[in-house]
Amino acid sequence: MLEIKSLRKIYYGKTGGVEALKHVDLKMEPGEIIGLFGENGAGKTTLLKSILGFLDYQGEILLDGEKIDRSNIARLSYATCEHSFFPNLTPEEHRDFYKMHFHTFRGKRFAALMDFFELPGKKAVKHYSVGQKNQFEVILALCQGAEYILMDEPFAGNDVFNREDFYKVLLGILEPEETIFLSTHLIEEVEHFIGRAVLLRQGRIAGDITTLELEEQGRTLMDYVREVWHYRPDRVNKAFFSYTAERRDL
Amino acid sequence: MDIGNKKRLKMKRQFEAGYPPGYECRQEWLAAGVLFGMGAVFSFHFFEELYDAYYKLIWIDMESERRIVEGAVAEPFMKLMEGRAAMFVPYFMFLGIMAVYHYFYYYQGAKSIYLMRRLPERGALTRSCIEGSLLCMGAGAAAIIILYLLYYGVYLLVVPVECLPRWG
Repeated sequence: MLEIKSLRKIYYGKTGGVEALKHVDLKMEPGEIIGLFGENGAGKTTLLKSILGFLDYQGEILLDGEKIDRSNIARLSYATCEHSFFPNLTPEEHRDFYKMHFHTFRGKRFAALMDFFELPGKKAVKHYSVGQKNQFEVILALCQGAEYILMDEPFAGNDVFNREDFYKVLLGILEPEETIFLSTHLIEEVEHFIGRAVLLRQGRIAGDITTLELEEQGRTLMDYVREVWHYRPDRVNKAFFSYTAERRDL
Repeated sequence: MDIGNKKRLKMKRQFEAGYPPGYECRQEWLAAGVLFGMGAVFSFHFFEELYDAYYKLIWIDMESERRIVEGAVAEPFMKLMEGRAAMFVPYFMFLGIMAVYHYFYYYQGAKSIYLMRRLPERGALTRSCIEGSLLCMGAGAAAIIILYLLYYGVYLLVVPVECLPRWG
């Protein structure tokens, strides 16, 4: 189980500190597929980077009761829209590198996914299209052999069919103990793929609900998100009205 | 692939393991080689110094015979080499700067720093940044020592035994 206890992250700048995460508490059980949602700047990426130890933070992040360090970091993998692969290496060279550093690397899964997405194995990744790069980034995260797979907007730049394919493939290949923690803005799209939704708002957990609970309540994930974020659909109309009124006055 | 080729490839990979994965080290080696070569070429000036030092030790008599100036002592070897090592400083400085550059390489084209920072192997990131540079520095230092030993051999051959200073 991945457990986050009272996680607090402050970014310090010239004008003082900005609290990006405010006492976040969260538990992830093995086998869960969790969607992480929130506006831009809500703290999603900060949360993922804190889990991976890329940032200093206050609070505790425990993996089966242990602090995350070199001894258990291989149990986590990460796919990011910023891409964490080596642009000059080919996928085959990446496979060798991963095999060397992660003994749990899933070679068969890697070959199957490369084949499924028809990615050229002998071409340097820098020559891939943006969509292919995203696919490859996710493939690496899925094949590292990690139990907790963290993804930060991994499909930014992929077309809708491509993303659909990926969700299907993911559901097909994931093993019961593999956990996905997926940060995305594609709320409606991932609704049927995830089992639980966590909503971040201004650095706090604003909502945490399973899709089963949503089904029982007869609500969609989007309804839930709107409610938690206090979304006001008339906001745009009001803004336009005041703008046009201003122009009429001129 | 024959065994020789496999061995060569393995050796090449082992050496390149001291650099960031996918890093084009050949250009760095070429630049370092040029800097080292410049230092080495400048060190040839030693022969000119040795020539001058040698002709301070001898005089040529009426029969065109070389005679040693009585009580003459040759310039010590280290005195002749003074300042020569400074010409290798750019080589070592370049390699030091490149070690820092290797770290920033992980931010180019992608953020592969994220992968390097979560490798289970302790010190993998640091090693990939500095190991290659340190190896080149070591190789450079060894080459300088060999070069100096060669020069010292020439010095011993040229300077008459009776003119050798007590401390080389």
